[in-house]
Amino acid sequence: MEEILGLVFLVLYLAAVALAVIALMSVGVVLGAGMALRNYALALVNNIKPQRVTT
Amino acid sequence: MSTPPEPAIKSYFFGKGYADLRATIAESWQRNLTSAGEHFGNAERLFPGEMGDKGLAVLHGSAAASVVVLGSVLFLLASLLHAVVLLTFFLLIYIGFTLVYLTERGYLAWRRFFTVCPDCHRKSPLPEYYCPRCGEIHRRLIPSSYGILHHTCVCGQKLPATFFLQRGALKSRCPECRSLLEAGHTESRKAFVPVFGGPSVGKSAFLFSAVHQLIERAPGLDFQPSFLETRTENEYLRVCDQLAHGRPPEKTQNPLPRAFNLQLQRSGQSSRVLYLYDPAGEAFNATEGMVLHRYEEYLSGLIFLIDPFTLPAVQEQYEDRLPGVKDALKPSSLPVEDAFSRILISMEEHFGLAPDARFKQPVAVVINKTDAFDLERQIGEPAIQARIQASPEPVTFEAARDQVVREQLLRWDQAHVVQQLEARCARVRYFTCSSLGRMPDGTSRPFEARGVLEPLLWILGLADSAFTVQNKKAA
Repeated sequence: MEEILGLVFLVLYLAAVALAVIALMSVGVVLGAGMALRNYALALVNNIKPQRVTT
Repeated sequence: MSTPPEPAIKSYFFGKGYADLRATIAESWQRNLTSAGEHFGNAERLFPGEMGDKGLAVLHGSAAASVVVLGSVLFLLASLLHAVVLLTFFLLIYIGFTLVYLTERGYLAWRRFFTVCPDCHRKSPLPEYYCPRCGEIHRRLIPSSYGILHHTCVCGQKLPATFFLQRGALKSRCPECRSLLEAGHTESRKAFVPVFGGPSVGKSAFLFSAVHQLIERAPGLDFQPSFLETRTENEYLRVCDQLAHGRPPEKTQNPLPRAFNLQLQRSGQSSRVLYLYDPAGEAFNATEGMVLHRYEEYLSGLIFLIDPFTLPAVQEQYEDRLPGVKDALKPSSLPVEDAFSRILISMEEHFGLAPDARFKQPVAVVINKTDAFDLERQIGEPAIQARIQASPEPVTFEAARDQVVREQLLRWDQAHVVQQLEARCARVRYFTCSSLGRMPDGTSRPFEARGVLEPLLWILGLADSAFTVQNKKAA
């Protein structure tokens, strides 16, 4: 019985760790995507300039 | 040879837009790499630590991977969208300026407008325009990648890029010799008539007298005459003043002088600009070559002026009286057959006329100096009227004049010239005139030319229907 309980706890613990890792990874992916979006927006703002008369 | 760039701002969608796209892609990629590097660094630093640090390391690691992977996907998609937007505008503008350009070209071709420099005689589709603000030269001020309707000069001045927006009001110059041009040198229908003949046949007097008579008769023909340039007007006024005081015009020195332009405007119609040429008789061969070569595409016709006193038969006929007036008459030194042969040679060499082909443009053969002795009675109006009266069939004045002058040339042993003229020229008509109206006698009595306008009006009438109608009206 104890062995079974121990196994269940181990499974639950591993599942919780896995979920936590997945959650952290998801947050990380969203964070990364947001960062990529921000980077593109900043690059766009920095580089898209209207034509200017030079003199 | 590459054309120099226009001193104008190119449309964003034809240049800078793509540079901006490249710079955006490069910068966002660089930013993504930097962000990923930072997150990987954090993950590497945190991973050996406690559980919480490990979790943060996972967060940073996935964020770093996401920046690289999703960032690449994102900038690919965004760049694609960016490029599509740029290309859409590029295409719209391209279609826009192509349509405006083709419409303009079609309209100008329909109106028969093109640029001809009165100085170097070059024909070009468009002059070069000056920016009214900074003086920069715009070589191709047409609907293009620099703008559909306007170009923006590097100084910021907006310039109309099409005929429809009064581009002609800008100061312009010839693309070849850089002489200043007027709007009328481009935006007008043109007629090109050179006056050929040997030295001293009276070409300058003929030209100015014809212009003088045309200006006087223009209102009656529904035309309003004007000069395109002040210098032409001044030259005209100076020569008219000389003629009014009994002084013949000076000898033309320049082998291929600037064209004499006269603008004729009729309300509701595009203006007509005449290009009349009076090349020096001495440089005959070279001159005609140049003239004919330059005007190959657009010559309206030519006036071949003959001095009857170069003909041996006429010299013989008046040998008793000729020595006394030789200084006043100034007979030309170049025989008529030589003068015409040179024109023919020039046509073959420079005008692309095949040795067995006929010159299609009208040739007015004009016998000048008919005021001398009794030439007017022999080939002038009295002789023509007599021919009309004597003719059993109704004959027009022009036909009778052709007969009278032609027959007189034959009587003067010029059968070979007449034969050559008629064999090589599809349309020949004979005229007589006196470009001074009387012999120069040293007095200040005004010269009053006779018969100088008819040859010009005949050629103009064949070149442009506006003159045909008016000729009929005038007749």
